[in-house]
Amino acid sequence: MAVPVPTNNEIIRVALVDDDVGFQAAVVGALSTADDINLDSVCGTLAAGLKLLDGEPVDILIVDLGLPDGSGINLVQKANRCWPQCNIMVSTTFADEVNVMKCLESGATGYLLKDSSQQNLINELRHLHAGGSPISPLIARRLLSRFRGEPNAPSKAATEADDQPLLSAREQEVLELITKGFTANEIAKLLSVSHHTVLTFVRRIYAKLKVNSKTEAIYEARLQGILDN
Amino acid sequence: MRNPLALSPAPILAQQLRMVMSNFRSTIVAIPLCFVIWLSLENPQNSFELTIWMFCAVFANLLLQAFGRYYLKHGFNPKSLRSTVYWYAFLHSLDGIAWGLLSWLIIGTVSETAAIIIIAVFAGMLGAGLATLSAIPILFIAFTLPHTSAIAAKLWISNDSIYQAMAIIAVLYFISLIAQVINSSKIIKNAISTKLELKKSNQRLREIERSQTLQQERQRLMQEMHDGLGSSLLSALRVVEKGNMPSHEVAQVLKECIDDLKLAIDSIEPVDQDLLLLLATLRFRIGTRLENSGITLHWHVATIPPLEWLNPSCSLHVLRILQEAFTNIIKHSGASEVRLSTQTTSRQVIVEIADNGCGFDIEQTSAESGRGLLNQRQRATSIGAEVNWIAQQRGSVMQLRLPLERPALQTSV
Repeated sequence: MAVPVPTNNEIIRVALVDDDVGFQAAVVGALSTADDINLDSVCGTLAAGLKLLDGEPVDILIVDLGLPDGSGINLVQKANRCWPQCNIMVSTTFADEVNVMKCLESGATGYLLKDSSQQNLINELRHLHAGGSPISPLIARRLLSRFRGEPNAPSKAATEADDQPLLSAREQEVLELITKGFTANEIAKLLSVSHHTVLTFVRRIYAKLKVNSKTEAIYEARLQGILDN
Repeated sequence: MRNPLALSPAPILAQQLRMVMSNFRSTIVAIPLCFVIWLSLENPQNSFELTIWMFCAVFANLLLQAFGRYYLKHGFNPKSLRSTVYWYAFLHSLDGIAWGLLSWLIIGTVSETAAIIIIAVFAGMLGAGLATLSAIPILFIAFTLPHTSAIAAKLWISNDSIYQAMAIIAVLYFISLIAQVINSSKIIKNAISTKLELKKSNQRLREIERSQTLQQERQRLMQEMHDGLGSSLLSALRVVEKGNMPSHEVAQVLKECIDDLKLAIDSIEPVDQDLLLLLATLRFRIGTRLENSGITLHWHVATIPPLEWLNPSCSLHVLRILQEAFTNIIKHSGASEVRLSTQTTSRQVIVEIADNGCGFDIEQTSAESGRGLLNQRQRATSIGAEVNWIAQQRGSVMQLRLPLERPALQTSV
């Protein structure tokens, strides 16, 4: 995946699809204080969000999962196809593992906690645009077990599909350190790599997860005889 | 004395019937046997009757198999299970009649070899019947009674003393096999009912376990709502009602409520006995708050063996104890640096949080506003752990000592 290289005078274009008026106001308020981020559009329904995809792509799309007229997952999947260069972020109250994993599998590269302070919100957007992705220890643990083929192990899918990406030793090491509570900075020091490299590791793992879940979906579909070949 | 031929109650009877019906080996032997008998014994004298007999015997056997296959495939209807057994017994009796008729067709038409062949076939069929039908005695009787009576009658009326002796042997053999069938059917019935009971009690146990887990989880959530989120919200409400708290402080209280909720949610995701993962989760949740308060967190953790007792409810206690420690540091200590370290001894895991703030006097704090400290102590006791505070020249140290083995006393879960 091509990670956009941030330049100093580049404006980050953002679109928000969330029906939570309070959160809309918080994002509008926060982004008005940042010179390098521009909020292009704000809407609150899945239909309006899908319509957005016909227009010019933005750099970051923020999507709420529980939209009044449907699941934000649909929007995440479609945006992933229509705007391949766009970073998709999911807004969530608790960042619980089940929901976050689902979003990552559908192609999101980050999530935004709704109770973040203005400054944190801006930081998260900049961080994502620079190629970083947020990750929690619990999600790291889930990723580790997923790539190991646990716990609902479609292990046959892993052996049968040649294009199934596996974690490199370094990526696995990074995930393991995250489950032990180390921050990106500390991990960079421990592994003697740059901070930026650690960030791209996480982004690469997310990309592999997306491919992985697609391969698994195809395998499952084949098992169920939905696909003919 | 109980009737040894009585049918068992439905669930056991279904198993017995299934056992009998899954026997297809008898057909593999019986049908070729029909052909062999027909080929070797057919002569101009009996040709017509023996040919018809051959077709009838093969047909009766196939009918039995088809009946069994049908019910194995479609399952039994519990209401008509007994009549299914009776129909099956009827088909067996047809089969038995066919084999019994054989003696009437060949004795007298094939002379001296006939009786020997008849007795050999008879013995073989009864033995096979014992092997395949003994689960349900009436099926055995339905098959062997017509078979035995026909042979014994034919041999008896022959007026040949050797044939008559054979008739008596056949009847005695039949009686001894009946006794054997009744015995083995008892054994089979006992085995099946034991199996069914075991299955039932396992199911009951699982149900009890599930409802207990639910109950525990409900209690835990209630307690959590009561002690954590509930009390925070209540105090926020009181303060707002009085109207004398600045809005940023109200915001702070509400933030703490949300943090409480996040910890409770984190504790639902099982950490698989991994204390480090639990600590990592806590750091992930409060890291930003520490940073915003200008506190640098030093993370010195070492590998910790899996803690078998670390279930979601215990996890939440550990999280709350440590969260309280960090909250106290942020609110009261004025520290700029905090160090979290872990260390494993032969019986304990020690989690230590040290800060470089102003420190506090345990005795005094406990006496004045020690609810927080008391809470931490109580939570620690309930998971078989202990918590200590060590005053230092600069700052203070909190030590949480967790047992490596499952604690014996677990008063409240």
